[in-house]
Amino acid sequence: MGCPRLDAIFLTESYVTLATPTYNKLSPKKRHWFQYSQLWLAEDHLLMLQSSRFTEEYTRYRLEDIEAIVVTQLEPDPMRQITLGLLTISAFICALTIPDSSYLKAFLAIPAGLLVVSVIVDTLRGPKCRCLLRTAVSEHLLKPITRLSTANRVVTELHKVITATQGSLDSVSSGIVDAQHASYQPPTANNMSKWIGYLLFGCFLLNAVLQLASLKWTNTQLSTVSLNVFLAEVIFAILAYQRRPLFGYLNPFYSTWLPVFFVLLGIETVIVIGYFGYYLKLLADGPNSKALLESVRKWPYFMESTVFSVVWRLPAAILTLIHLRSGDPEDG
Amino acid sequence: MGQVRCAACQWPVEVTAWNNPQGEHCKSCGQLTYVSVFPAINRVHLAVAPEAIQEQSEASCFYHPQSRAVLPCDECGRFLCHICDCAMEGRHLCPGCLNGAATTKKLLVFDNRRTMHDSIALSLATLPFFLYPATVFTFITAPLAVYYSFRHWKSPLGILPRGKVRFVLAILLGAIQSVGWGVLAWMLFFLRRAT
Repeated sequence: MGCPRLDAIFLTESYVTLATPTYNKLSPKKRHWFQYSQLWLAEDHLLMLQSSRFTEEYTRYRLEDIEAIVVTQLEPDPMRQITLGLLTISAFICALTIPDSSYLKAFLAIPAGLLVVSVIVDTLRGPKCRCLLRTAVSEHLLKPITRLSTANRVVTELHKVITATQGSLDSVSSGIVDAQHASYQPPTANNMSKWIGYLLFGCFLLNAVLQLASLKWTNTQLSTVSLNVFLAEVIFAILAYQRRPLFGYLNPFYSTWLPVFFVLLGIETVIVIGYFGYYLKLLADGPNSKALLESVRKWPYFMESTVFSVVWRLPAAILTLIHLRSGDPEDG
Repeated sequence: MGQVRCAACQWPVEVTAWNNPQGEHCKSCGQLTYVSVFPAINRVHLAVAPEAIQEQSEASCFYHPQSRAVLPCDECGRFLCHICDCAMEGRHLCPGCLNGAATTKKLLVFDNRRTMHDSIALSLATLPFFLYPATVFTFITAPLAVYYSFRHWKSPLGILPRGKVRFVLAILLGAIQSVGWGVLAWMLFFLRRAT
């Protein structure tokens, strides 16, 4: 080490004889595919263990240095639940309808049963959350804490020991904090992400107008343009669903209407697939473009599907665009 | 003093939400957020500049001869100024000692990675056995698991409470597989001789 006295100390006692602290389990293991993480509590620090089965990595946080613990409840993911539910139902239906094949029935019924169990367990474990631990120089995600019930238990326990180490903020320095933060207010959330709302409902409006126009001017390619706008609608709807927290998650307008639009778009998708199948069949017959256009009009459900598309799109688009223009969507 | 941010969207949380048991909705993402804030958030972290030597008789820092020493290193005894004083686990160390401790992992704070020899031994004893095409290699891996278990029986495992059950299982399974291979080899030899 280049320090004779240090060498002597290192090689004999001092650090070598440092006792390993006693750890108490603080959180259950959060398992991933080939690894897990867990929180342990020592007398003066919190230890986050990340194990990849063959190695263990430790991150220590001194209780004295912990400034804040933030737990944010995450909303349940309805898409995941719906997907799991649909998968389960389809697996059960397949299992029930397959004739004379007990092996295949079991092959489908077992995963369906496991899916049901996973949905039930997921529901019973309660809402999900993210937990951040803040120190003076960093913010760390506490990976083992993913459920609110676990977070409550862990934070309660941590609160006790940290308060015992640092004292209570209320009794010691709440006055200082209040004074320092009296003038501080976080900036309001920017509404730049409202553009997705404009795009989505703008597409709805455009598509409704295109479909109405295609009824009037039958010898044009407006229905093809409408089909492309429909694809854009689907993309923007998915984007809007993913970004809904940014443009007012709690806003009942979005939380109510977005799922409705998804259902309507789903119905539309079925219609479009049917229409597309008919279109492909016509193409296979090899008519010229004019004849093709005329034939497309003869699709049995052309008028009904167009009316259905326009009836919900037009009012939804107009009302929502007015709503978006009139003010902050967070007002509801 | 820094801001406390929402764990979902990183938006600053208002002071009114601090230590509120009911939680508050984030102003940006609207998620319910619970914030526990502790007195450490008030701590002011100011670096202390080293003082220059005023008189010839004053002790100077080992690394900065122009700076006044404020304390000795708890390990090597070198005089240190404010810049060179590295406080770690209640000790005051010089950069050299700190580097030495980091290299040799003699300070607890630097002991942040351990190899789990017992898991490796158990994997050696089990994984090839269950992964069918690799089963033929158990004539190598089984004795290897036994050897590895004995070799690392006394090696330090993780810093958390952990028994030696995996080592025992690895030895047992490795021994059983080795014996199985031995019997198979003997039978093949015996049958060949008999025919």
